[in-house]
This record gives sequence, structure tokens and C-alpha cells, in this order.
Amino acid sequence: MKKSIGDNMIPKGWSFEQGLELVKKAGYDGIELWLGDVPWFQMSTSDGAVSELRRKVANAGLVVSNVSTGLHWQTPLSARDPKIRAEAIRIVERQMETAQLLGCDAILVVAGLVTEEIPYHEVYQRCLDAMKQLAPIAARAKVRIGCENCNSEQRFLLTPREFWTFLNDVDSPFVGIHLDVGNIHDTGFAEQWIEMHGPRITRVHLKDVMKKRGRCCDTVYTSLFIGDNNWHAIRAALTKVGYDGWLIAEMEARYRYAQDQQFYDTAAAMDRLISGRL
Amino acid sequence: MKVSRRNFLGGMTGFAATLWSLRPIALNTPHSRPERDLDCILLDLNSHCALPESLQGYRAALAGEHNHLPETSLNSRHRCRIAIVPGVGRMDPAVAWTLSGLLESGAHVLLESGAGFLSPSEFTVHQEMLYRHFDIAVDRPVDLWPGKSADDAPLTHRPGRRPSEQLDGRESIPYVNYVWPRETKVRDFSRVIPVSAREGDVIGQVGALPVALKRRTAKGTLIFLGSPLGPALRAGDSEALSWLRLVTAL
Repeated sequence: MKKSIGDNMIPKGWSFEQGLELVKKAGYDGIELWLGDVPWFQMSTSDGAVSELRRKVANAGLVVSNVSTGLHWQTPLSARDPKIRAEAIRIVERQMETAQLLGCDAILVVAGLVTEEIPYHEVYQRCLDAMKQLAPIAARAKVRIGCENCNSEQRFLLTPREFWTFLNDVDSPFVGIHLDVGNIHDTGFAEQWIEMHGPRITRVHLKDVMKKRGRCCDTVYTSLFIGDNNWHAIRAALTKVGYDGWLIAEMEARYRYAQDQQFYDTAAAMDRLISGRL
Repeated sequence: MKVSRRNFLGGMTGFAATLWSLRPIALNTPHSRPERDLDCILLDLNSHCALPESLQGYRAALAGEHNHLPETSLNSRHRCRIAIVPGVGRMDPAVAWTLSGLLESGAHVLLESGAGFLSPSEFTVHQEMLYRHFDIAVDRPVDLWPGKSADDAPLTHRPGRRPSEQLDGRESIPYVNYVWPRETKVRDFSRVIPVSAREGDVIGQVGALPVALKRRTAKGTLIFLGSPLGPALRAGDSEALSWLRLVTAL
């Protein structure tokens, strides 16, 4: 397995090049690029500029592990407004185009948002429609779409079985799951998701979660090995299903000071996980 | 004013072309016989359909019990028992004439507005079209949900309004209450189009806000929905399906 970390973790005010240097020094093999989340990689970034990003990544001795985006939180594929849905589709298409330019074969998509006003069954149908529309494009681009499990935030596809049914309904080898082992919170256990989805896992996001241990008994994200994820079981499940792809650090709880130190600490924790020294 | 022969002929040619494009193709004339009798027409307005998922919803709900007809295929010789027009945004005048003709010949016509997410200029065209051809007055879309919706975030230019006291002062009202053909509650579509007409019965309300009506014409019935039913049908809403079945069985 290889280690990667998101470019949205690069401390504010740092340049992309400085960030890449830090990522390399800390021992990562690759970097995850977040479309729309960082100044150097926006929807308006030209193909030429994207190719230039690839050149900088290569010069730093890294590769791009995948293309992610947080844009679908504001522009969901499940929106009722058809104009917004069209815009959301365009974002996914741009992710695929840039993935090709960046030389990687996977993207992360937040598939749909269940809200008070947009009920689950509508969201399911729209996301299914969107993925069925996007799957042939992904196949042509040879880029796999990983729908992320954002269980608590999305309120959608909350269990591994639901997610499995959804992917069966989409029925394309180019649409799978981008599994975040920290997102499962109180609705299950990451290792069970890994076992159930196996070859459909496109990428794995790593973070830890303290279940109901926040100050107000809420559930909070934290750094690796501090929380309640069963890392022995997660490691065993990854081995069982033969996952040998990218592990990508997504540290939602940032260091307040010495932010570069978090890159080193996280990389060291990932090394321990990969080698099984837990 | 002097008009040259060339200008006169040119003008007359243009006038004739305009008349041809606006021909009232729905009217019965001695020379036009019904092409065929259809039970249920589902009219596909193509690019004029503002909510394609609504059309998909009706198609799924009606399954094999309808004739899917692109707007370009609709002509005055078609006759049917009921015509359903999902997600109406704009409408070609010729199509509006044909639908009026169907109403005159005794058909039921269900017009579903898809105007909730149109731009202000598109909505004005929609409003004028409904008034001119169907004598239906609609007002700007009303947002039923207070607060910032994910749907609203990127598009702030839309002509939405916040709920008024007509919604009984409640902060959110998740259902359209239909009283015809039977009492039914269908989840709203976040934005509804308030409707009024000189004649006709209100058949659906959100709070006190009328959003659906029916009106008898000479022989037929016009049913107007200001809250789209198609997306609920697409999502498998059993109440919406039941309501549609009753209407199509009229």
C-alpha cells in the first residue's frame, strides 16, 4: 500500500511547491489533489495549468493518487434544481478530465445529500441517474469514480448493505466506493465495510474518530490511533480483501501549531499501519 | 406612407409564414380527421421541459399505459382521453393551440408547471404563456423551506420568495394537500407555483396557498399542478402514484 495526503492539508499561505516538498520530506508517495478547495486547482484552471501541476508533482518525486472535490457539498448531484444537477455533473466530468491529465485513475465524489427538504428516496434516484450517466464516461476515460461514504454528513447510504445495493444498481466496474474509515462513526465498523466492498474500493481515506467522546458527548474526528477505530481489524480486513492501493490521510482535526509536524506524525502512523506494527 | 411592391410582397410573405407557424393545428376542420385515438398521451416538450426528471417520473409511473409523444409529433389529428404535459417551462404556441383543441374535444389535459427553478425572464414567459393560452394566472415561485438550502446556494438570482402568512405561519410545510380526486398528501418540491383562475376549483394547497386547480372546459377538464408530481413519482412515492392513477382513470 502507498501513502498519500491531500493538498488541502498544506498549511495556509504555503505555495503548492512548498507543500509538495513537505509531503515528500514527510515520506509520502503521492498527493491527493482537491478540485475547488485550493487556489492552484479550480474549475477554471486550464488544462495547461493542470499539466503544469503534474510536472511540479513529478519534480517533487511524487505522483497524484487521485482527484477529490468538496464542491458537491454546495452543488449536489441530488439537488432538485436541474441546473444545479447539471453543474454537479460537470464537476465530476472535470474531475475525470483532470485525473487523465494528472495521470491517475480515480476520483472522489460525494454522491448525494439527504436534507430536511430533499428526502432519501429522491436523493437515491437522482444519484443513481447521475452515476448511470457518468459511468460510460468514466469507462471511456479509464477513471474510476469512488463515491465517498460520508455517512453522518450525507445521511445517505448509511450502511454497507445500502451502499452495496446502490453500487449494484449502478452496475458499472467504473463506479465504486471511496472508503473513509473515519466517517462511519456510530453507524457501524470500518472493517465490515472493507470486507463487504473489497474490489469495489477505489481508494481509502484514513482518519480516526472518537465516538461520543467529545466534550458534549458528540463524535469527533481525530488523528490516527487516538480514536476508536479498530486499526488491527481494519488492517486485517484490508489484507483479507487484497487491497494494495492508496491510503490517503484526511486529517479533519488539524494541528493548531506546527502544522507541518502533522504531516510527519501522520506519515509515521501510516507506516506502522502498513507494516502491521500496531 | 408609400409601400413599394417589393416591400409589400416581402411583408405579405413574412405574414403568411408567421400565420403558418402559428396555425391552430388543434382545430377540427372538415378536412382533418382524427389520426388515431390514443388513451393517454405523455407529451415530451423536449428542451421546453424544465424538469426532465418529472417526465421520467410519469413515464415510469404510467409504464406501458401511455403513448410517449415528442412535441414535434403532436398534431391536430391526434385525439386522446387524457394528455399529460410534465415539467412545462416554455411552450410552443402551436402546441398550446393543440392542447386547447384537445380540451375542446373532451380530453382531460394535465399541465404540470416546471417553473420553480426557471430564471426570472424564463418565468415571465411561462407566466404569459399560461395566461394567454389557458387563462391561468400564476405567481412567482414560493420557497417552502426556510433557511439556506443546498439547492439555493449557487443560484441566488432565481425569483423565489419566502413563505408568507398564506402558509399558516408555519416554518416548513412538507406536503401538498390534494382534495381531488381524493384527499392525498404529496411531498412538496421545495418551490411551488401559486395559481389562480377566473373559473375552476382549487384541488391542491400548501397551507392556504392554492397550488393546483381544475377547470371544466366545453367538454374536457384542465388540471394544473403548480407543484411537480413527477419527481415524487420518479422516487416511487406511493401517494403520488395513487393520485395519478385516479386522475388517469377519470
